[in-house]
Amino acid sequence: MALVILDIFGIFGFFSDMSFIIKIFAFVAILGFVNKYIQNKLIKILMVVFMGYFILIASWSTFGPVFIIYTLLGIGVAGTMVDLFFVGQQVTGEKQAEQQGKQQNLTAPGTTPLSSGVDVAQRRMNSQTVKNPGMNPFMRR
Amino acid sequence: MNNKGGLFGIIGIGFLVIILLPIVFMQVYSISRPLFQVIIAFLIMGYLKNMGIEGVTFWILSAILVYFLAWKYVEMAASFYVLIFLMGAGFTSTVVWGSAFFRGKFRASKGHAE
Repeated sequence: MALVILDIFGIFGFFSDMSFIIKIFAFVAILGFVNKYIQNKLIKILMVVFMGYFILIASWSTFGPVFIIYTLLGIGVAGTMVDLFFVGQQVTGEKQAEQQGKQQNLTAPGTTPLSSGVDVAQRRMNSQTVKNPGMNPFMRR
Repeated sequence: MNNKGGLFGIIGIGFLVIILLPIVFMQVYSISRPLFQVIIAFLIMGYLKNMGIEGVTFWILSAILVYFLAWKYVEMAASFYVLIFLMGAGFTSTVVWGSAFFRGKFRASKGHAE
């Protein structure tokens, strides 16, 4: 009953059309394969009949998804997926770095995540006082 | 998706825009519909010729595929054609890496604002 209600929207009609189109493309692929590798006309017809029956009718539930995956790989979906994996890995690395930064902030309370440059200035002042003791206020005359 | 900072959402929106582009074109410019139909019909016939199919088989298969892809489901076929065309030109990599780049820029600017 539920299937009949769903069919009001023409969903099953659409899926059956798509299945038919994919079968036609698979048949074209079989014809192309046979045309490419077989010269004898009789053997060609026999092969088309055999492969057509075996792939399109007898075991379409197996070869249908395989043909779809083969087609998707042929148009370059794998390259896009590799890009997605690389970008996802990059984002995961950013997240891990952020978490590590947060943990360091927790261990050193009072410090800011962004450096204000005060620590660098203090370090520079210390190094200058070591080089030039006159810069030290306690050593001045 | 949230674990990746919404990146896959941005990439999905990019791909959705590409897929919807021919449909919007067909709605806005009515001339683009027959244009897409002609392109898809020639694409199908070229594909069948390339497969070495000739004679009656060629015309029967062409008629079936042209009816379904260039007439009944022309919007879907046009979207798929544009996606495949851009994929062949390497534009999907631009969408993926561009989304990551602009997301990084946006996050950096947000961090400075904070």
